[in-house]
Amino acid sequence: MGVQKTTKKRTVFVLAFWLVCIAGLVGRLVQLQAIAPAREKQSNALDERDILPRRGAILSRAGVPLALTIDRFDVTANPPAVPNRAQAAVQLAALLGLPKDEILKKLSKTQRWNPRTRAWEKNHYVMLKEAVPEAVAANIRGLLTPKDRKTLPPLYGIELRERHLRYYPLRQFAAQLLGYLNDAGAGVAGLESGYDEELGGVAGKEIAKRDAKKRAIPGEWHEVIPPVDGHDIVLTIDDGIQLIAERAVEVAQRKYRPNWMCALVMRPRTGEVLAMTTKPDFDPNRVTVQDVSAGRTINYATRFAYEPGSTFKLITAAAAVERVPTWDVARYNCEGVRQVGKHSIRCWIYWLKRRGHGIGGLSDAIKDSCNLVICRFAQEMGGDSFLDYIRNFGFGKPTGVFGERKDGRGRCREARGIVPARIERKDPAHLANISFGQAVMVTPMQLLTAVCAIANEGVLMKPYLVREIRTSEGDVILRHRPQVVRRVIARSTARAVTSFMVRCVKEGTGKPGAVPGYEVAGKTGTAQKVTKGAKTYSGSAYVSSFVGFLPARRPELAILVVADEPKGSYYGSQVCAPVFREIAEKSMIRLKMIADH
Amino acid sequence: MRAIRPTPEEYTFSYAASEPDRPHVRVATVRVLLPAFDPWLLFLVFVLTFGGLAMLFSASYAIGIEQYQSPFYFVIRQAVWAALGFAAMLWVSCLDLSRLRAWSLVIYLGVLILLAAVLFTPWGMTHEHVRRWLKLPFLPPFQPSELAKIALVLVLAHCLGLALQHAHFSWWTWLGVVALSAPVVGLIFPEPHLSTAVLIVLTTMVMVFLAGAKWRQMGLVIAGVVVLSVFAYSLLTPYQRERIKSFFIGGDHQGSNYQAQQSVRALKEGGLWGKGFCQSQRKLFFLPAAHTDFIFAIIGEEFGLAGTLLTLSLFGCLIFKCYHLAHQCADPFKSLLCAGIGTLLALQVLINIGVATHLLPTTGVPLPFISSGGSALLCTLLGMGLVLNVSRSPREWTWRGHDEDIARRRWHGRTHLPGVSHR
Repeated sequence: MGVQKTTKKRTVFVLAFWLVCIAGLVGRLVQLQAIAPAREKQSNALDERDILPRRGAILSRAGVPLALTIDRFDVTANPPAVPNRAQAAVQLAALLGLPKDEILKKLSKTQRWNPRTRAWEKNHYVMLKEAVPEAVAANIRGLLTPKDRKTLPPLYGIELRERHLRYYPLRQFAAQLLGYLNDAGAGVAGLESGYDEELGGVAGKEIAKRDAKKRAIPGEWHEVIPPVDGHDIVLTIDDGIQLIAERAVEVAQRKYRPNWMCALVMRPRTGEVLAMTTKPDFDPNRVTVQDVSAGRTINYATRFAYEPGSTFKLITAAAAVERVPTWDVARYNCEGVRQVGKHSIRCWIYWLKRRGHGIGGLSDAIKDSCNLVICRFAQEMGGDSFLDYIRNFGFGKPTGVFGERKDGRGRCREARGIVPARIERKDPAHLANISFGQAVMVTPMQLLTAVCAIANEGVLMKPYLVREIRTSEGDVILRHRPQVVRRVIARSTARAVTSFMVRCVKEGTGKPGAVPGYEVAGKTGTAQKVTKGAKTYSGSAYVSSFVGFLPARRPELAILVVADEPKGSYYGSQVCAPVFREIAEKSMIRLKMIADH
Repeated sequence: MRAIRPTPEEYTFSYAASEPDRPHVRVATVRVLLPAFDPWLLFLVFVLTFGGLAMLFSASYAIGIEQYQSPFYFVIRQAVWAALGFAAMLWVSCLDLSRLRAWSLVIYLGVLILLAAVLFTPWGMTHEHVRRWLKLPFLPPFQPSELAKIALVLVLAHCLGLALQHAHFSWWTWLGVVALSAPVVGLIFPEPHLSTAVLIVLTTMVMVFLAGAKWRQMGLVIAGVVVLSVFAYSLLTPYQRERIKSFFIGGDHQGSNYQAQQSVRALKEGGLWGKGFCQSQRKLFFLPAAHTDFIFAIIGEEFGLAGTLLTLSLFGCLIFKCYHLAHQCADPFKSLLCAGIGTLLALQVLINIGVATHLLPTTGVPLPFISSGGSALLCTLLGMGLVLNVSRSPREWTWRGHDEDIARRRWHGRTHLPGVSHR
């Protein structure tokens, strides 16, 4: 007796089988570790992460925050990980103030359709509520920390993510001017886009070797480059005057229902923009598609070029005072309608009364806003010198109110307007048209800048909106000073035109713009529009405007109000002059208050 | 059971060994302090266990810090189990095998009770949806299924050894084998513990094959097992099915292939010479179960092809030693015992490394000696104790009782090696 021979043989056989298997494993290991590995070297790669900088604030000149960045938390969930969804939904509903069913529905989305692989896969992410304040986040955080090692925390599977939220505390206040951010946090309109580099700051980096749970491995490479927070921007906008302008424009906008209506307030001696408002407006905290498609986000004060109409007569008058030696004694007759070249030109009064203004000089032309008289002065001085004045007043070029980048490009897009390269000699009506503000296109900003030059005794100042740029620590790195562009007209000329404007408000079309207690210089404008597709001026679509400054002798404020296609009434004197008066009256009080301080 | 102790005579020799003028007694000293094991077997076990502890430290410190705030959490526990295991191994290796054989059925029944206790009594412990552990006082939880493997090998070796003394391997023998292994499989399968159940079935088949079952019978039984396993597939839990499906069909179904991919990546990144001790990246939670089922991948990443081949050759030597002993044995019980333990070892190593190299579907079979897991280490060392025990006296018979040994003047119960005292 002994171990059977079969057992002995089979022992050898089985051993041989194991050894063959081991040889197979050796082959596989050689294949994996000696032949294949060249491609697999990424796991030593360092993991780089951006640390988002805090976007700088936009402040009014008094330091009132118009746009700022606040810390908020996104509440998200990993639905498959939540153990008791119904209970979590009840707790979250109380914390987040959302209906319980809605949360439960989101938490139940454990599967997700992947269109690429065309299969259902596990869904590890749902957004429950965005931008929750710290107080709510603290409550949730309390329910996320486990009491002991054994039990799961009550809100297991819910996550809090810290993030920055751009917040516009005054909502619609100067919305088109400030602009807004896209989802990626970059400015897409207004100052947010123009000063994106300064506001945005520089992202920091965290470079580290990480484990599978994305934590830095201790003792391995770990480097943190801190982010540089964005700069704060201080505007020249005075929040009080801006508020006055917004209120006044809003009231008028409700009454006359123009497509849009804007008001601009500047300080003539320095070129600072004190208020810039356009209505209807939008809330930059939540920009809707409708806001964008309806054009409510467009800053018409700088982006809209229109034929200015009668307000442009100020420019003609200024040029005429300089170029026509007999301006103070010359008198022309306004017949209501006159043939110039092939075209017949009508004065506005002809439409109403079928007669002209009668005999008048330059001052009367401004006072009565007489087209025929002013065009005679233009013809008197000749087209070329008139065009020089138009260009010198800054028309046909962006004003640069938003400032320039280092390479000279403007910060924000601005309309250039259209100034003809030369006056058509064969068509005398061309010059005549330009003299009362047709066949040229200007933006409200250009027009007010030019009027400021008249108010500022003939010196054209560069308009500006940004007063200071400060670092997040408060060091001022850039301070804008008033900047003279050029002297456009002589001091005496400016005074003469001012006196025309004062007369216009006292006796002429600008009477509704008079402000008690102040001598106001102003000019109305009612421009016919060429509507889309039409070849000639429309009889029903107008751009009404009123431009003026006060006090006439030592101007503190220059104000322009423009309304596009107002309904009901379309005269600048009826639609825009009352708004001008409202803004001017209250703003002067506001200025006095600031001065008294 | 009688432990082998040196006789007073030998004590005298060992005292005398300190005398420099009597060099020949030193042989006797060695014989007293270390029983006459196969030294290579013991060496291999030492190397694997202590190398495994070092490797376990490297693979487990991260998860130790993460879960238990201590890098040494797993390695200290494993070291305690290793110490217990070595004590148990030496104790088992000194037992009288014929006595052990006589007690094997009792041991088997005891293990069955433990397995039943896991499933049906409150002492059973559930962890991550599986019920495999038994709560012990003052000790960490114990996994009786590990003990069941050894006990089943022991009892099968005993019964098949008896059967081998008959001329042929009948269907009645098969019935006996099924009667012994079915309760164990039946108690382990629903824990659920598919891998151990499969391991036990395979080991049983190999032992039956070694015991001399006829080819025709083997074929029929294998066919039956295949049919049964198709039925068993329907009893599997969804995650087990998912793993098997994802291996055969491919695609990452709910990440069950993820472990295998990470494991292969670790091996590839190791290259020829590896990144160095403790330098593995994959163990930092990229590779789940890095300290248990996938520790081989960490060896591969830290020591490269050199490390994996060395580990594999150590296991190869150990398996070879077991089978070599089985081949040498005169007694079918000892032969089957060694072959059985060797089969357990070989299957676990092959399955574990096969999974780590993505040749097999992902299952949780620990790598013997190295993977974290106290009961597995203890039971592997117990098994090695049995093999060491056999290695002391491969030619000796167990069943006719030690009375005969005494009659042959091998009363001390040790292997009779002619001329050994003269070396």
